[in-house]
Amino acid sequence: VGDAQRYRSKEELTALKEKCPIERLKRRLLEWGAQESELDALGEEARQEVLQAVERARASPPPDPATVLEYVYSAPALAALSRVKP
Amino acid sequence: VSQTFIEILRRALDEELGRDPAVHLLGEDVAAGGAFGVTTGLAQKYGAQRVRNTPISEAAITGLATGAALCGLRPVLEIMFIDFATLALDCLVNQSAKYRYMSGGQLAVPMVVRTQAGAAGGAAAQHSQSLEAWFIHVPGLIVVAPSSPVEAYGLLKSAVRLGDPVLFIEHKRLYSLKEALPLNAELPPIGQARVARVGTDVTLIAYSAMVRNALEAADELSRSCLSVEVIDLRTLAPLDMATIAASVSKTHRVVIAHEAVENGGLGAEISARIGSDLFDELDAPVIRVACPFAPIPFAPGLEQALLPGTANIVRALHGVAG
Repeated sequence: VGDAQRYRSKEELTALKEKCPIERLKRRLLEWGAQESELDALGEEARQEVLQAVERARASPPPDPATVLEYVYSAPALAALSRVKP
Repeated sequence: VSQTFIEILRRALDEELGRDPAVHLLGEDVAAGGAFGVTTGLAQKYGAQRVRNTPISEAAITGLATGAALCGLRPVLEIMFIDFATLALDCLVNQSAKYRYMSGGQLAVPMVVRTQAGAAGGAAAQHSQSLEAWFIHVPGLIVVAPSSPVEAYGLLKSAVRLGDPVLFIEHKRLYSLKEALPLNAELPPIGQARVARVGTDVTLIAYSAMVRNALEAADELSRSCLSVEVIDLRTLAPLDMATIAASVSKTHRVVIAHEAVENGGLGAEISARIGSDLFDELDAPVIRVACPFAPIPFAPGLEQALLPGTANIVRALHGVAG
């Protein structure tokens, strides 16, 4: 997923990963006394939430093409739109 | 009691702040009144939490307002000049306009972006533009452009209450204009044009400050026994084609007047719709009165030479009436 970044050297990517803000925050929190297990649990919780959302999306029926113009505007604005035909 | 456009805007904001604690004002120097004094005194009345000065970064503050709206507030953001809305376009176009659609209606961005546009008194090429056409091209955005203090009062209040991202464009030439607010007037609905003058021979469509020129031109034509119907669009997106169609079906002749450049302007869109929906009604080609394709010059003589005005509209009306 995402840009494979073949135009960057391995060294550059490794150096940049060292600066990853999530990893840096984790290191800082550990310095401040957080437990590794605590942070792992938080990470796992987030992972599960995303996985469940993916599962729910895959299990849902594809959207009905008849709804393609829905949710562009609020109901009052839509009332104006339908009056004037979009 | 007559009040200026600026005083009436302040009154509308004051009343909305008083009515709904979710309403907040944001913008560069708004706590001190803003560049044109629209918000003067409101920070003293409602506190610095609800009338907030922001840093001078349109991109950042439009993001701030959008986030606040997503979280349940009703921010009214001031972008000092529409020319600076260029810096806010990513947020307005890619974020504010898209949340409702991309979340399947779970999220809303009830936000008003007040801004000020148009040419007056040598503000020059970077502070005089009429950029409304950019925004009518974006599904999800509402664009409103009032033509008078009284219209601005009602439309601003309606915009605050609507629940969608609204770009509210004030014309700087209207700011010193005075009118008295009628008592207990109903708020004009967003998305509905107004017949500003009833007529039978030509439909003249305008918005913002150009409505005043349109009314002047209609007056002048009445002396040549030509009856001009003036439509004040008020909302530019969505366009009220029903009001336009009713008028064109009566007059069979159309002139569209705006201060923005002709190329790709509102006039092009309206003219195309009239051409396809009302072709059989037309007795003459639809004529546009708009700014020639040049930036607004600083020199007063040049500014005046470039800007379309009442005389241009009068000529167009004579032309279309044959």
